[in-house]
Formats: sequence, structure tokens, C-alpha cells
Amino acid sequence: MTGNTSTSTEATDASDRDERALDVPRVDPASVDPIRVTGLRKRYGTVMALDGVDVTVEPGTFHCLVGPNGSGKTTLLRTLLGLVEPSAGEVVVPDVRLGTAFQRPSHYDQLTVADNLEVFGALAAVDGDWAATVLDRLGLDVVRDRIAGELSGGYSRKLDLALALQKAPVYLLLDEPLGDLDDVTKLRLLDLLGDYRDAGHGVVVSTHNLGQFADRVDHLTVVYDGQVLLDARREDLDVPDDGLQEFYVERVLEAATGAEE
Amino acid sequence: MSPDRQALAVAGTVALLLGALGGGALYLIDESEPDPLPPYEPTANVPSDVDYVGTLNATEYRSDPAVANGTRASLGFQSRVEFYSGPPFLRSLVLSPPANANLDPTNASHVTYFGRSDSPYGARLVAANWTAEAAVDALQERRDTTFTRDDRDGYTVYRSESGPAVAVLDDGTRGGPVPRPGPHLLAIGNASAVADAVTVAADRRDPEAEADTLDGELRRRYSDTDEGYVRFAYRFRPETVPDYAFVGSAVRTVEWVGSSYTRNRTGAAGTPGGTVPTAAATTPTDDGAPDAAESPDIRVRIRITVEDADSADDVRNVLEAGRSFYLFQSSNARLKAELRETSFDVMGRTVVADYESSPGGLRVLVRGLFQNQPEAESLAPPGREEVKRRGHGGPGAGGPVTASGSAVRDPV
Amino acid sequence: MSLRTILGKELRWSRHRVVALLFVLVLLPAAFAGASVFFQHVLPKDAPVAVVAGEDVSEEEYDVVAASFRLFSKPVEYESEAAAMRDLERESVYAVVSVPPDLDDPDVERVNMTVTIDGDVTPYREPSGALVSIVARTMNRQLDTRVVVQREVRGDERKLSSYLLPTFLMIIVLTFAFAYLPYNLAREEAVLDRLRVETSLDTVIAGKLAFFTGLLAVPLLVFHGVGVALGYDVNLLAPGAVLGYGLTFLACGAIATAVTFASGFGTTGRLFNVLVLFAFLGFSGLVYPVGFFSPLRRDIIRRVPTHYAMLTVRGSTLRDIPAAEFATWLGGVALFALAMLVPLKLSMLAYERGT
Repeated sequence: MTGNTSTSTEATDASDRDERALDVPRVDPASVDPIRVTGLRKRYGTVMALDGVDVTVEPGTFHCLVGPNGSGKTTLLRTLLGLVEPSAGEVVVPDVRLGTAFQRPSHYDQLTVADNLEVFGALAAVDGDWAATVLDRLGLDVVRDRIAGELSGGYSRKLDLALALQKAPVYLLLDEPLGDLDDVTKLRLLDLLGDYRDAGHGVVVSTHNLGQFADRVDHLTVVYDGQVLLDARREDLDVPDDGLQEFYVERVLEAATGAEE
Repeated sequence: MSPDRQALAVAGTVALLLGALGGGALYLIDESEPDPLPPYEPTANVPSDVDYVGTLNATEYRSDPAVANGTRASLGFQSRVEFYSGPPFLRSLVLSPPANANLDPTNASHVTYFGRSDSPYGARLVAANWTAEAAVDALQERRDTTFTRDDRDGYTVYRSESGPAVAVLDDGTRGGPVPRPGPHLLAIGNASAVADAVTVAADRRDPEAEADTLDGELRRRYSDTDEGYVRFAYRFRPETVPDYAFVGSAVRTVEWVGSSYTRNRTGAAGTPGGTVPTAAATTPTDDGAPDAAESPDIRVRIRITVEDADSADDVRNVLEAGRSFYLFQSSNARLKAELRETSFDVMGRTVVADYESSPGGLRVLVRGLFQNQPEAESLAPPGREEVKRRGHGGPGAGGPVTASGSAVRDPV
Repeated sequence: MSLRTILGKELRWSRHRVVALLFVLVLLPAAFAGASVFFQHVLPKDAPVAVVAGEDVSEEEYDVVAASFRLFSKPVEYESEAAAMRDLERESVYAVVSVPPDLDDPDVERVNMTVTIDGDVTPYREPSGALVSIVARTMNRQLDTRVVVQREVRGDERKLSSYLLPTFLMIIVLTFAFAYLPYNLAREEAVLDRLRVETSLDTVIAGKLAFFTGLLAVPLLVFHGVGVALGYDVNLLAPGAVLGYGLTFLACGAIATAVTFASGFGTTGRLFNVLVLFAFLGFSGLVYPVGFFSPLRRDIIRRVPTHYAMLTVRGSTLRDIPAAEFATWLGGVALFALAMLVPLKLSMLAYERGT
């Protein structure tokens, strides 16, 4: 029974995934240039937020930027989005759609969920069917007529994700996307992000909790104190998924200890 | 050394010594002209706490009868203005000579007036070739009073019971204005004022004392006037301004008035070489009197300092209104021309009224300018304390009394 | 004791808000106290008055009339009455008087002189009466000829309430620009990052300024409706007025937005905008004609573009003067609005660089 049940569950999951994967607009990774960052420096007054960062984000990969608070991950992400001007170095972002969700909510809190989706959808000329799919998969249809400013933390974050996803961006850049979400929603979102990556898009996630993305990450960049401690493909790291968080933390502690000495 | 050489050495040394001594003597004994005396400063002995100060270069004033008449008329009109609080020029020893053969007014070269408004405090400093005794005699004659001689701070002072006093500030032996025997600087007037002048003179001679001489705003206003043969400045008293309709409030913002009379021909104005000329220094023409046709114009400049720039504009408007009306009313072409040349300029918070005329025409010009004063609605200015208009002198005491009630009685 | 703790917390809060508190408790009160300097006269003493000297008038006749007016106004010489009347409509002068040509004629016993004022400049009606009285008394006191000075009102005598209608709308426009627009922008600060990714800050701000400028049509219509209902003869929909209000809002909105960005959406920026609002309210000559004020304040007002917008609005709404008559002034306000886009753009660039 259990064997049959597990087999049937796996089959159902696979079948569901196949179905869901069919919904996601596809992109041929070979036709998309990567995002390249070379020698990036960013200074805010006397603080060096980024100090010589080299990173490449390939399409069709799930790329995690990990590091403790204040390590420069958000600054790096915002630089990739064009919201921060580098002090030095080169940032080459191909002319493709970029989608983003920030750590803080970034939508019109005086408009409804539906209004926000429509306004940003119009700006990006989104595909209506895909937008509806995003709405459904993120469970926002139950709050579509609610004023965005009145949403709970979780729904507010889902709205931001929806705004990012509905435009079918080639590269999706997310800053702590799972912050306020419940476990069920987290799983659903992780599935969605995985499907999105599988459809050929680049997914960049900035997080300090690598464990949540351990079974999906394709490329890992560890950032500490504005510098890259490690930049490697997941497959090149001989670390099990459940040890990935500990692995990165140890690298950071080593760097921190070395800095103190 | 040989004897010949010894002698030569001695002679040479003596010659050198003599030469050094001689050269030193030459250096020490200045056989050149003696250092010129410092220029006479008419206000040097004026005490600090006064409301008006004025100076008259009598030599220049008398040099031309037309100038004297024109100046006298103009000063007269000015002093008859309702709120004039300046020096009582017309009650001067120099301008209204007493009947005393020993006191020749033409021997006076400079007169300085100082005093306090609406108070008997006041005196004049007369630079003249007079003796103190002659001045005292003249006063005794006029006032029917006796004087007693006294000494104060090394200066001779003659006091009377009725008030006036005479002090000798410089008798020529102290290296005064003109080094010749006889008194050359007399202080004549109210006893307190004369005593203060003596104190100032004494302090000026004492290197360790600081003379309490004229300073502050009044000094500044006097210095701002042009260097003319008549110069004066006084503190304006707004409480003496009558209730003029519309313009009274503007006039009451006046704080200081300064005025000067100059002769508008190069060399005709001022004194040569910084010395004090006497009447004898004036050079008459061949027939003994200056040629009237060549009399230089007299330029009168009045500087009226007001509370602020806005009020200065208002005061200027009042003055210009008076000029405009006079110009309109007059049919005298020459007067009209002079009126058109009259200017009223505002510089910061000072209104400068500038007018010029021939000595003969000045009285006509000034009469008109001053006659077009606004009419008072009432004698007393509204909301102000009653003005003690007639002071101590009373009308007719020693000459015309201005409405300001200047109570400096002419002691002569 | 909890009250002490709370008070202590307020002290801690104030330590972190020193700049803002300095602004509110020191600068703002000082500005208001200092502004008292600009209120010097109850009655205008040097409002400009046109004195027209015709061909038959001598220089002395002109001088006498001008001198009489100079005591309580500022006479300005004009050669033609038409030009003077035109400037009367534009509030460049507040009265027009023609010098009678027979003032110095000894055969003439009595001379009439008319002082014309604009009935729409309500605040000047009382002062003009005082001026006429002063001039009459002064001239009759000094001259032999009897001078009868009469005051004539051009157009209807407008009530103060209707005179103030366009002024109140301008106050609304300024408040909208300096108070509501920054508030609206601050409410959307969080979404600016997303907007910068999806479109551009330039597009967002341009859209906001354009939208709110267009939205002004609503209060404009409301004011106009109220004016009609109350029976005021005021046409707030006159093209000159619409342009005047619109350009004013654009210019001031640009300034307010620039301040908001420059201050990083902080409290200091909001307070500064309030200060700028008061400055514009105080120095645009909204209520009293500019001739009423002290020379210093008058000088400042004449350099403020919104003053000319207000003159245009008043001329258009109260006197039905066509907008073309105010082309120069409207052009100036438009240039001002364009010029204010420069600091706006610079502040936006600085904001983008600083995030």
C-alpha cells in the first residue's frame, strides 16, 4: 500500500508539475545573454558596500546570493536592476525583461490587488492568460478586490511576487522572497520558482537562509562584507543539500575570523 | 711718531672734533622755518554734553558785505523755523557788535557756539585779538553786573552774580592759535558752559588727562557738514514739531540737522595755510570793498538725518513739495532757475538739501523755501508733552527767539 | 513612574530629530517674527499713481500736482491717458490723474482735477479717498487758484468678497502644490523602486504633475459655480485665469517635488515645503495690491513670478481682460515653470544616485 501510495503520490506530483510547467512561458537559454558583473564596487560615503564583486548569472539557472545581513547582497541585486549606480566596475545586463520583488512591499497600497496587477500589467504589456495563472498559483484571487495597504504581510509579499512574475521576466530577481510566508505558500512558491527556472528563465534569489533553496539552487554566490567568498556551481560543491546552509555559514565565519585576526 | 706728525694728528683730531660738534650743532640747531602751528580746530574746546555746535569764520563772513547780508538773512530764516534748535548765530558778539569802543568785532576771526537746547547752558569761544578785560567791560556795561576774577585749573575766569562768565583759554603765551601777546581765545557765556570749556582746555594740555570734548553723534554730524564759513549741527527735537497735517509724522522722524555755508569760488572759501586769519588778513579790492558783481555764490547745504530710509523719502517729499509750490508761484526767472537747481537727495537716511544763490539773491530764495512750510493744525503736537517754548529768555530777550525756545541769552 | 518614562522617551525622540525641531521651533518662528518687518503701514503711502501731463501742461504745473501726490503716494509720469488707464487695469498704477492745463492761469478761479481709480481694486477704495482729501487740502493751501479734486471710480465698485474669490483659489492652488502633492508622493515612496524598474522616474513625476494640474479643473469649476451662485461677477474660467492657475501649480509643484526628492522624502523636506508655501503666500501679492507694502516687500513681490500670475488671474477674472494682454506675464510664469524643472530633474538624479 505504502509503496503503491508513494508511487502514486510521486506520479501525481510529477503529473501536477508537468501540468503547471506547461503554463509557464518558455525561453531558450541559449538565446539569452547572461548577466555579467566584473569588478563591481559601490561606495556609500565612507562605507564600501561592494568591493570588487565578480558574478555571472546564466539564464535557466537558480542562482542564490547568500550572505549575512549587511553583506551587500541587496546592493548587488539593486545594481543588477539598475537602481544603484556602481562606483566602479562593469555591469552588463542584457536588454530583456527583468522582474523583481524587494524585501519591503513595493506596490500602490491605496489601490486594490487587481488595480495593482492591472497598472503594472499595462506597463509591461503582460499576457493575460499568464497573469491569471500567476494570480491563481499565488492564491491572490481571494483578495483581488482588497486594498493593497490592508493586506497581511504574507499576501503583500505574494502581490509583489505576482507583479514580478506576471510580466514573464527573462530574469527574476528576488530579495528574501519567502520572508512572511506560511510553509504551504513557501512550498508552492518554491515549486513555481523551480518551474520558472525549468522554463529557461534565470532566477536570482538573495537570501540569508540558504536551506530553504538548497534542493533547487544551481549556482551559489556567498557574499560577505561586500566581497565574494565563494562563487560556484552547485554540482561542483561536494556538500549534501541539508548541509549547504552549514557549509555557507562556516565559510562566512572563517572569513569573519580571518578579518578579526 | 715724529713731532710733526704728532702735531698733524692733534690738529686733525681737533678738526674732526670741531667738525663733529659743528655738524651736531647744525643738526641740533634748526635754523629753518619754525614748525607751522597746527591748524586751529574751532571745536577743540567744546565740551561733550551739548545739543548743538556751530562755527563761524568771521573773517570770511565779513570779507564781503553782500555775503554778510545774504548769510545773515538766510541764517535768520533758518532760525525762525518752528523747530530750529541750532546755534543762536544772530546773537553773536561778532554779528551784533555791542557799543563798546574797546571791543572791536572786526578783530574776531572765529566764533564757536555750543550749548544745550531749551536750557541756559551755552557759550561761545571767540578767537579774537581782544583782552579779557575788554570783554568783561563790555558785559558789565550791557548787563549791569560786576565780575570777580578767579583762577580755575590755571586759567583766568571772570564770574558774575547774574550768570555770564568769561574765561581766557589762550592768551598767546601758551602757543595758541596766533602767537602774539594778548588773549586770543575767550570763552564767553553761561558760567557752567564756560567752566566746562575751561576744564576741557585744561585736560587737553594735561598729557595724562583725557579731555571730555565734543564726540559721538553730534561730532559726526558736524564733521559731515562741508567745510564752510558757517557750519553747525544740532540734535533735532521732535517734540517741538507742531501738528502739521499729513506731514507732521514725517518731520518728527528727524534726528539731526547739520548745515554749512560755503562760497562757491576756488580760493574764496577756506583759510590759507591752516592759520587763523584776522580781519586784517582779508584782501579788499582797490576801492576798499569787494566788487559786488564778482561776489561768489553762496552755497547752503543742509543735511537732515532721519530715523530710517523710508522716513527720509517722506521728508524729501515734503521739502520738494515746498520747492515745487514756490517754483509754481514765482514769476522771477532767475529765482525759478535757482529753484530748479535746488536739489533734495536722499542718501541712506539722510536728506541733503542743496541750494545756491548769489549773496543778493539768497535771501529771496531762502525766504520762499522756508515760507512754504505747512500750516500747523494746532500749536501743540498731538500726543506729545507740552513744549516749554519760551524757555528762560522769553521773547525779545537779546534778539529773535525761535519757537524752539532756545534760552541761551546773549551775554553781550 | 510611567509618565516620566514616556517623557524620557520624548526627549530621546527629540535627540534624533534635532534638525526637524530646529526648523519648527527656531527657523519657522524666526521667519514669522521677522516677517513682521514687512507690515509697516496701515494705509499705503507710496502706491504708484499715474500723473498724466498733457501737451498744454507746463513743467511747473506737473511738478505741483506731482508734489501734492508725492506726500502720500508715488507719482509716475505718463504722457498719455490711454497708457495710464491700461496700466490701471494691470495694477501697475492704482489711480490716474490728469494735470489740468489751466492751473497757473491767473484768470481761472477754479480748476477741476479728477482722480480715477479702478472699482475692481477693492482694497484701494478707502485709501484713495484719503489721498484725494490730502491732495485737495495741500493744493488749496498752497495755491491761489481753488482746486476741486474729485474721485471717479472706473467700472463698478466691487465688493471685497468677490474681489477675494480668485485670491482664495490661488491659495488653494499653492496649498495643493506645496502640501498635498508632496504628501501624495511620499505615500508612494515605496513603489518608486518598482516604477523605476518598470518605467522611469521622469515618466512617473511627469504623469503626476500633469494629472494634478488637470485635476485643478475641479476646484476651478467649484469656485466658479459658487461665485455664480453668490452672484459675483467673476469669471474664473477665463483663459488667462486658467493659464495663470495651471502654470502656477506646475511651477510650484515642481519646486515642492524637487524639495521632496532632495530631502529623501524626509520630514525636513515637508517642513521646508511648508515654509516655501508661506513665502509664496506672503510674497505673491495675493490679497493687497503690491503698492500697499513697504518698499522692501514690494521689491521682493515684484520679483516673484506668482505675483504676475495673480495679477493675470485678477485681470482676467475681475475685468475680463483677454489673456493676450497678459502674454508677457504668462510667458514669464511659463518660463519660471520650465526653469523649475531643472532643479526637479537634478533632485531626482541625486535621489536615484543616493539609493
